[in-house]
Amino acid sequence: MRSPHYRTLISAGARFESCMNASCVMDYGNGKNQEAAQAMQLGLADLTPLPRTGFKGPEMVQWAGSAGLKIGQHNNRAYLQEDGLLVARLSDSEILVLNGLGSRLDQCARLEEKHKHSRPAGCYTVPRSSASAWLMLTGQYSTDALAKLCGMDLRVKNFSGGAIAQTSVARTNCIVIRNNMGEIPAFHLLFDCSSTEYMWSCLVDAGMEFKGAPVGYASLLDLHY
Amino acid sequence: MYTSPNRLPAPAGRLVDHENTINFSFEGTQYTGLAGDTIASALAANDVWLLSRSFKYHRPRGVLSMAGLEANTLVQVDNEPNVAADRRKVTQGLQVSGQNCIGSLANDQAEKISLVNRFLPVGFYYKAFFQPKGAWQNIWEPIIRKFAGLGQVHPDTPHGYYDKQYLFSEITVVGGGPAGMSAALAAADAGAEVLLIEQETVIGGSLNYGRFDTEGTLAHTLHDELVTAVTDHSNIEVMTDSVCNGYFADNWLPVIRGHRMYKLRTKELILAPGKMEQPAIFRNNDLPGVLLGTAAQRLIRLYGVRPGKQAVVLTAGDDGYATALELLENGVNVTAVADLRQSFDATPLYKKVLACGISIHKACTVYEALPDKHTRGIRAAALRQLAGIGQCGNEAWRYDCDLLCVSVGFMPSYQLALHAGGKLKHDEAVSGFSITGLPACIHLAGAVNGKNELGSVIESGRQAGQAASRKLGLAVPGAAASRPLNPISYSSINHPWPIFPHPRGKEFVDLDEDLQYLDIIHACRDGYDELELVKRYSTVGMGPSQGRHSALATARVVAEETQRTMSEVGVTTARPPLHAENLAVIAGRSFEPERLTAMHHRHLEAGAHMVTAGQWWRPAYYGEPQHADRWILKENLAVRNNVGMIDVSTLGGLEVRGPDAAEFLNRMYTFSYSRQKTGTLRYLLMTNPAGRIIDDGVACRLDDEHFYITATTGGVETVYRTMLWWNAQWRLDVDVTNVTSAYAGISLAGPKSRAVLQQLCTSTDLAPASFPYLSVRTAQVAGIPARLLRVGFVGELGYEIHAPSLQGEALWDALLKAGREFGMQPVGIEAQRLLRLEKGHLIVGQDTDAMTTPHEARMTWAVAERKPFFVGGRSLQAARRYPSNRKLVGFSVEPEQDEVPGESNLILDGDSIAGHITSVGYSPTLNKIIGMGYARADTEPGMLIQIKLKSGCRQSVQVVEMPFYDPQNKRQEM
Repeated sequence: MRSPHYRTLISAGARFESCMNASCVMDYGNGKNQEAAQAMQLGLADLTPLPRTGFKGPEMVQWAGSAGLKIGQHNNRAYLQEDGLLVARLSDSEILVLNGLGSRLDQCARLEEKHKHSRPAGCYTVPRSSASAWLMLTGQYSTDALAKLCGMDLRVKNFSGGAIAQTSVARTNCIVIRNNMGEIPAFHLLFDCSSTEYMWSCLVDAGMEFKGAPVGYASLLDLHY
Repeated sequence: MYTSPNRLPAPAGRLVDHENTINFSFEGTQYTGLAGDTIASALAANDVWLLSRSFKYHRPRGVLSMAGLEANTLVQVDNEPNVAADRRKVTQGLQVSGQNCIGSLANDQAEKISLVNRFLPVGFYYKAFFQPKGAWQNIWEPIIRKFAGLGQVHPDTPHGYYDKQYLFSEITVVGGGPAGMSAALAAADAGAEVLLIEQETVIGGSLNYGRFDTEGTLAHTLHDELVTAVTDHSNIEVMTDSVCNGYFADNWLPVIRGHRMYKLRTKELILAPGKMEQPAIFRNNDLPGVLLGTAAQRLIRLYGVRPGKQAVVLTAGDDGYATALELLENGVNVTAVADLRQSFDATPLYKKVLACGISIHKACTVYEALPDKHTRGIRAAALRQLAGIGQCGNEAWRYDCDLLCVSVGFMPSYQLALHAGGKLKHDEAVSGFSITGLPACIHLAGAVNGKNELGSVIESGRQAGQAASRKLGLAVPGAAASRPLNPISYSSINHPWPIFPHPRGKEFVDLDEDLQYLDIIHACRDGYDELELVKRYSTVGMGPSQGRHSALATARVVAEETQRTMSEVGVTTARPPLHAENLAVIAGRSFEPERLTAMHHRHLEAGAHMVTAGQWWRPAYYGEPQHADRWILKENLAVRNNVGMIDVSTLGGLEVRGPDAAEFLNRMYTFSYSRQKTGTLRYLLMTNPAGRIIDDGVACRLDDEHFYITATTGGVETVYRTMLWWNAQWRLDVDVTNVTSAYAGISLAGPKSRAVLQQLCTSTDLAPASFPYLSVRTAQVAGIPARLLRVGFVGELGYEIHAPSLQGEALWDALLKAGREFGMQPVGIEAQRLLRLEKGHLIVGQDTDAMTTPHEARMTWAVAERKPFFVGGRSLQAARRYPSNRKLVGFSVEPEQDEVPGESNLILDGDSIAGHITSVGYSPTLNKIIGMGYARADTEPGMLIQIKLKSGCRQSVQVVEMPFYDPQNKRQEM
């Protein structure tokens, strides 16, 4: 399994590694320090091959609790689990689950397996892995770059860590989750996977004035831990 | 060593770097300016004052305001037309030229047109060009087009990069003058996040260039104090060189800086844009050398340019005396001041000018500026004693001068406030304006709030800043003691009538449009006595300056002519944009989303000609466009005789899950789904509440409580939205999830499709008995989990394979490899459309329109009439009482025709229109041209219908039974 726009990534110099049955961009051959510095300035990472899933339905909250997920009461907030899973509560009846950065386990598959066996009434899976592309924008200029594409005020003052915006980015429906890596601003972007090439090009274009560039999964792990 | 005739030494020239020179050219001549100069200031320093030619009479024009407010300073800069020379900075090697002239700017051949100006009265367009018949198109329009426009657009202009960015602020202050800075500081001190927008390159506003006291030091002191406080304040962000170009609902402001438009949202807005100095109306008031007083001061203090050698000042208040002092102190010989007022208090400024020995003429005006034929500027000012309002007496003086400064009044910069819904109200007593009726989130500060004395301007800003902060719920500190200032005082901001008609005319009310005093009078006398009508009839205020210098004078003239007050006449409407904006700013970096299927690059590699379907890119056919017919034919025959694969990923996909899933589909679609068995497919037809067809697809029942349904490419978003909308009311226990992008879809069709699929699908029995037509299975295809749908859209044995989109390309590759031995080939949507036409299957949106009922489309077989309810059912019941007068029919034509029917050709009923052709094409299988279209409802197979071809000829074609191909459905059910 690989990203829909893997050709673009290859032309940018991507080096792939197998990661949980998928082919993931680990770096762009720029050296560890340089890529980490890039991620701190403005980096764009493709996390589409990594696991993610979703659950929805009127009984979703109850089932999620029984499955061990700790979700707060507020919608449009992301809740970090002890094992690194990030659970984004999109509404009273829907969550999006992102595998923990750095986790070597497909935590999402485990959750789906739990769901399959318990077959809860009123809670259904959402095939996020195949429906939504997953990009991450990192660095001190990430907010400025997003301001060229998105009409929402995503500055940390009004959009703090864990905040979610279900909004339009470059005229495409997108879930934006602020998930800072320590002091480094960072955003998860999830959107229709058929728009991956388009969205990637828009983000690259928006980041040019801030000297943004693609970064690999490895640099995120370096900054995350 | 750099020298230029009019350059003043530092400290004059706050914005220029006296050590850093810039070389540029104007009209082919090389000049040297300073870094920080505008084109106009650099030319002025070189004693070049002629910048342009006027729009209509090609009169010489130069700087008037030095603030980018009028058309006088528009020049061509390289490939860019209509650049304001008094705003654009000079850069190394810049090539600048004049516009709108025949020959050179100095010797414009078109200038002769002014000799016939009496034959070109106001409204002559309307009076002259409508006759004789045909004259407009053949005579007038070509002439006018030749003269229209100012600069030149070059088609080979290189593309620039322009874009947009969103911006947010709690409080936005527009205008970085004393009021704006004071407002920003008050709001920031209260804890608000403040964005201060200033169109100049530095903040400070009039404190940068204005003179407010006899010593000329007050502005400097205040400037340093306020600017330092603003720039040092952590809560204030300053955007200079930025123009707030309009106000839109919900505090949305377009702010343009360079090549970018910022889309600003602010919670509270403080408008402090200041005021615009107004010209006086006298003969030759438009010539280079006639400057507004503030323009002269800007030239001196901002750019270090002496605005002339010998000057006369026309004034109606202290501003003129301040200008006179400023000129004197910078080497200009001021010979006279003409003051329109009969009597006034002797202010310190007046006394100082008098003490300098300058002649001051009270109750006196400039009657005429005398042109200098050599310089194209002025050589003298003719003064007359006033005999009454606007009336000149016989006593006259003449003063030689090359500079005539006018300081007779100001208008508030009201435009943004009026965009926001404010009303401009005139106060007859002081000839001033006030603005009322603004939304509560907008606050006015400074001159736009009717404050003109410097102390009250600053206090007004402070109050506005505090008011805005309070609206945000911030605590506002107590009022600070305002410091006493002793600047210019105003008993009135405007002289009520600085208008002096001349028997020989040329006293311009609107310089952009070359409109003279009598033009406005004649417009009124032609019956256009309302200001908005005068504007449209005469075009006053419709030029680049948008009435900034003409609106007040026009309103006064109209009021006088129609015997009304200024309040009754009002002013014309102000609409965005505030300043002329580059179209590139609007056009730049817009977003056009595109969607690609998982197999998109495989299509490109196979040589597909791609076309758009909404946001999607789809392969039309595989091959070069010049041989499109050949490829479509080949792909068609591959499916009929062999096997083909079609990318159908763009089809909508929805999961409908829950105990009430079947009941939900029963209500949403016309067919019945309650008894649909698990593992089967059923056709879906959706109508809207009016009973009109809006979508179709198939429903796959995966288990009792789970349907996977498809929808059309263009319709799925509407279908999904509609479903959520209805179930918000029905509250059925069902969940609907749009999974369109989660699945890649490949349609494998043709008599050999089973054999191809079986190779990759070894654990699933594809035999007809195990997997019959209209059934669904989940299976592994080449190790990829998939849903297999046995459908027959193209009328052959076929399977749709729906698999996770990230594995779509791998699935495509595997199928292509498996099909190689069967001669399988990819098929585009053009062939698919033809194949389904042969089968008589309609495409919603192509073969239906917004009014098509199932009955008209011959789809009543898909309507379960005995169901208690479905959306549109009641309308269809009612429609039965009023039978439609059209229905969809099939027709065929022999292919050997000079002209064949095309899509959208009309189908006639006598001389009336019965309908149109919705689909048509050449069927290689039938060797006929076949088509569908709407004809009279009583049309039956065997009858002839008349088609009006593209050429206008009529052709009779025979109606035939549908489907055209395999009417027994044997091939798709094999």
